[in-house]
Order: sequence, then structure tokens, then C-alpha cells
Amino acid sequence: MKNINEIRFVATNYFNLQGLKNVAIGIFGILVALWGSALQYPISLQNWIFLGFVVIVPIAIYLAFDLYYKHTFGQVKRSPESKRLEWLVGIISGVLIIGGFWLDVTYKLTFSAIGLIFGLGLLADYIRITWLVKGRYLPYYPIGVVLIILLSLFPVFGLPEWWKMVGLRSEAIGLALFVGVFSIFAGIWGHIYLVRTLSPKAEEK
Amino acid sequence: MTTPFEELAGLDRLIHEPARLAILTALASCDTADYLFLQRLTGLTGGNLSSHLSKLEEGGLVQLDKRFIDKKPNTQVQITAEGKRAILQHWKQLDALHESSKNWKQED
Repeated sequence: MKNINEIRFVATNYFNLQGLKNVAIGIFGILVALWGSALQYPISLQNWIFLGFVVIVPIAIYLAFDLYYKHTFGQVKRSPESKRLEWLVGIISGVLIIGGFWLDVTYKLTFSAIGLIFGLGLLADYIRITWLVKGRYLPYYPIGVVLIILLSLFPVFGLPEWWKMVGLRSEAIGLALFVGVFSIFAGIWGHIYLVRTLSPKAEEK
Repeated sequence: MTTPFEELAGLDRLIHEPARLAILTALASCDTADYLFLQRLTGLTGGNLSSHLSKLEEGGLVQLDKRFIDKKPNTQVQITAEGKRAILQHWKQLDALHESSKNWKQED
């Protein structure tokens, strides 16, 4: 039998722990970054075909993993309180990210506002999903928060166009690539945690 | 005045049994969960889980919704309002017991 905090945590956050779905989101982030980097003007037919691929492939992977979780680990409907909290965090994060994007394109900032806001949003999400167990689980969240804040502040630290060093066209593409890679890493970590926690036939063992 | 051990003996046994405590705690953290999830979460065998769920249903603490999805049986389990109140009260009692047992001194 698992300890009671773990039971509460998994039952409350089952949706967030389905990490392979994050892998699909990560693939989307990486494909968007690749598409953005390879984009030529005027936009060619190949670019449009690749954009379709960028959208369809991650959706198909996401749906396949959704079925896998339903059939392997079962289904949980979130509590109304949990849904409300997630909506609230989602709406506030969305508004702030749009605000960050606006700041980045309107002013010549020495840092990435959208990156900083994304990092703080990730921190808020971490606090939301771990409030029951006071941050005992999912350490990849704070790692991601620190990394994305550092990446957003690279220009302040003397690396004004760091994205060019890795062959990317813009800071936004660099951030999308980082978010994609991080989502895959975090997704695999979350999935391993879920598989270990929901190991079958524990009683029989 | 009762000792922590007397209070312990007075706990509701329908809820206090470890597997049922785990099931109710999980169900109090979500809206509904299906049979497969509860089985994976608690590590109980199918027969044992069914038996515990039947007892909880008889006690009015959970309600079961049995249906078929893609021609396969699927049981959704939801904690009732009474079940939620009972498990929250039970955890309060356990926390209080934990505190009082720390301060308890045996009388001569």
C-alpha cells in the first residue's frame, strides 16, 4: 500500500502525471521551432505541408497516449475545485504570456519577458499541483523554472543573441525549442513516476 | 478523560481498515475514479477491491456506476457527500490522536 500523501497526490494530479502526453506537446514545440527556423518567404507549398505535419503528428501522438493511459492505468475525473484552480492558473498564465509577448515585440528589452513569465507560470503550476505534498514530488518543475529564467536573462549576462550560437533564427524559436525539449524530459520523468506509483499486482507480490 | 488508545479503539472500523482508508482518501481527492485506477493505486487484487467497494457502498460512503464502454465493463466509483464528510472527519480524528499521543503520559 502506498503512503497516504502519495495516494492523495496521484488521485488529485493523475491528469498532470500522464507524462507521455507532455512528450507529444514537446514534439510540437520542437517541430514549431524547426518550422520557424526553416521558414522561407514567400511561404512555399513545402512549408505549408510541413506545418500540417507539425500540427497533425503531435495531436495523433497525444491521442494515442491518452488511450494508452485510459486502458493501462484507468480514468479519473478531476474534482471541481481542481478544475477551477487549473482554469484560473491557465487564464492568468495566458493573459500574462500575451502581455509578455506584447512587451517583447513593443520594447527592446534586455531580457525575454515572455520567457520570464513562462518560467513564473511554470512555478505557479508547480505550486498548484504539489500543494498537497509541499513540493516532495516532480523536481523537474523547479529545474525547468530555473533554466527558463536563466535562458530569458542570458542577454543580461552578456549573451545578447544566444539563439544564433545554436543556429536559430530568433529568441522566440530558441525558447520554443527549449520548452519542447523540457516538455519531453519532464514528460518522461512524470511517466516513470506514474508507472512506479501505479505498479500492478502489488498485493499479490 | 479518555486516553489516546481508547479513542483509537473508537474509530469507525468501516473507514479505518487500511485498504478502505486508501480508497476513500483517493476518491475524496477527485470527482470519480474507475475500478482499474483504484486497483492500480491501492495494489489490491480485483476480488479484494470489489469486496471493499461493496462494504463502502453498503455503508453509503461510495456509489458505483457500472456500465459498458466499447463492449467492456467499466465501473466508475464516486464518493458520496456522507463519505466525504466521514473521511475528512476520520483524518481529523487521526491527526488529533497523533497529537494527543505525543503528549500522553501513563498514569501511575
